[in-house]
Amino acid sequence: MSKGSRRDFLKGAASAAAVAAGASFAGAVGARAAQSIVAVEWGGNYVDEIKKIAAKQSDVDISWQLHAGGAMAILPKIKAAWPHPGIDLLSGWDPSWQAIGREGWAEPVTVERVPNLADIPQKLLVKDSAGHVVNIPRTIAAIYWFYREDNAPFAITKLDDLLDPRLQGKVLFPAPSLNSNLQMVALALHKGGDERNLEPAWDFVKQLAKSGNIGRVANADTDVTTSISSGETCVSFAAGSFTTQLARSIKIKNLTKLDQKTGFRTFLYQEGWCVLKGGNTDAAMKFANFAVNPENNAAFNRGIAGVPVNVKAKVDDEIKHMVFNNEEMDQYVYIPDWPYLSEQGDAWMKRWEQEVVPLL
Amino acid sequence: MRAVGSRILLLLPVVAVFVLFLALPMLTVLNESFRTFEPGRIGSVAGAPLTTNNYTELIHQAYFRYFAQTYLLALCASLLAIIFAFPISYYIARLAPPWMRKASVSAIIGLMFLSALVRVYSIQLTFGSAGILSPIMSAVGVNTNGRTYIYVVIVAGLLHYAIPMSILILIGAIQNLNPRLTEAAQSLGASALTSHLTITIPLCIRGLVSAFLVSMTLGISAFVIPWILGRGRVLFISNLVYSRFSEVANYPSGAAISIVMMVLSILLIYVMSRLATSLDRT
Repeated sequence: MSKGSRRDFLKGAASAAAVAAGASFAGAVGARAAQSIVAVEWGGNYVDEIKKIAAKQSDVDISWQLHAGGAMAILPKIKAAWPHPGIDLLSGWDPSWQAIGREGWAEPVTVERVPNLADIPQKLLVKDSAGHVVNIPRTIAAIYWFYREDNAPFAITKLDDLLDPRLQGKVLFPAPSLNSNLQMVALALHKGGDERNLEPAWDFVKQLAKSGNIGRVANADTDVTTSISSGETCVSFAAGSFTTQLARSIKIKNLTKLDQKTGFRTFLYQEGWCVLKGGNTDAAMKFANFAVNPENNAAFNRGIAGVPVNVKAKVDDEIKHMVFNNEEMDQYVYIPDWPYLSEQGDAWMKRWEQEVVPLL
Repeated sequence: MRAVGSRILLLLPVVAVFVLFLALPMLTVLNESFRTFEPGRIGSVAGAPLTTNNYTELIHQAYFRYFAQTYLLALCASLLAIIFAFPISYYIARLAPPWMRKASVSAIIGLMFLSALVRVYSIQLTFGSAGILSPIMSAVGVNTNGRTYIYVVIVAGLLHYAIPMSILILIGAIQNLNPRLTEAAQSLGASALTSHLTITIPLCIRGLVSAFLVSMTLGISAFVIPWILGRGRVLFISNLVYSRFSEVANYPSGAAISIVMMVLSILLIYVMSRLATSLDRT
């Protein structure tokens, strides 16, 4: 057994003091540092743009995670981890708010906690069964049919053109789990039905499947980007932010603001955030409020090609085809029954697997 | 007695890991598969009533087709993988000089590190309907939009994994084979083909079955390959399971499909093991 000298003892004491002082300093710095949250965002332009907004402030330190697939794909993971989801701020859209509202996972949003909510149209706010607002909207987006002009064999002018033999293998049709099946709601509306009477759409889509025109079924938004940009397919149904970004590199014709007789209807939805219970809710609300102020809301939506929700934010020219005045809203736009749609996903997907996929 | 005690003690950590990470999650899946799903909810709600509907709804022509499609394409890929892998393995194990043996094994192992997405998109960009070879395919009358063509492309994707894995398994089996047995057969008048068919192949049967089963496992559980190369028109069981769990949040239905898939796979392994035992001549 060795015995330490007096010099060793003093050296040790000095080291311990230095470590203790360092720890104390770190603690002091920590106390002044930003509050930390975990936020889930879509990849690509979405996360790039929101990071630019986050860089403008220092109150909230954000650890970013990305959605793996559509907005619904993260919900099972939250359920598995509930009541400690490890996520404070979750990006999503209308159907996800319905599901989150039903599960009771959302921290109630109020104007006191998110003052910029006062400048956002109240119609965009989604409430749970207790009447609490569950979302903080940030973008109004449109979803509609479009085609790639330089790859289409002819100018597509009506929905029935999808059955044209010249479009053999050229239609990219989204699966019902994508876009909350609005693509089939569009077919139903054209054939005299609606989201509650989808039978005409099933008939049409079976005809389309038998025709051989469906070259690929999109199971994720990335399928739209890769299939259309590679030239595999030329016509599809997707969110405006995707088509606008595609239009920056290839010639895209957006089939919006067309006569209802053509069958090309546009659907509007809103994207935004939900603050989940059980985490750092104050910091999450604080950041969301900062991000939807007029300047930041305009900058973010300019980047992702969406329409800002803050009435004081400036709208970019590039997305004018997604902006509708009152008259145009009546003429071209259809707002579906989101709560109903959010309950039909399972049944529609099963029917798709049983009746349509075997015909493809 | 003390030795037995130490052995049990040594086994405990492994048993604990299996119970915690395999048995327990599988029991959760089994329990979920018998729960009633309420549309619009995430999975089954707490205390959801028990049901067998998640299994009975699979008794539908379309789902038979999905199961058959998955197992048949995986079977094709596994058989082709063995046919391609056996001569390569034989060459590496028996005929190649030591430096080439090392280089070949390194190259095959290196190939396994290549990202699945890179492999799949490379096939898509080459053989897809807008791929580099698409004009040539169309010129020789191949319909690149047809279902049969999609099947072929998916099998090609599965072979990307099955061939290297089979080669690695078969190298070991061939190396364990005593070459003097073949030499003895030939010295007694058997032709090269006869000695290969009656000595080499039967003595490698366990390796062949192992390679086949591993290839089948990779094929049946493939997700990205059918997801991208199947163009959403050809779906594997794993794609259905993913859709149920992640896209429509119907865990009970996804769990039921998973359980059926697992039972079928266990049956397959049992049949193949019995077959290997009956053919084994070692």
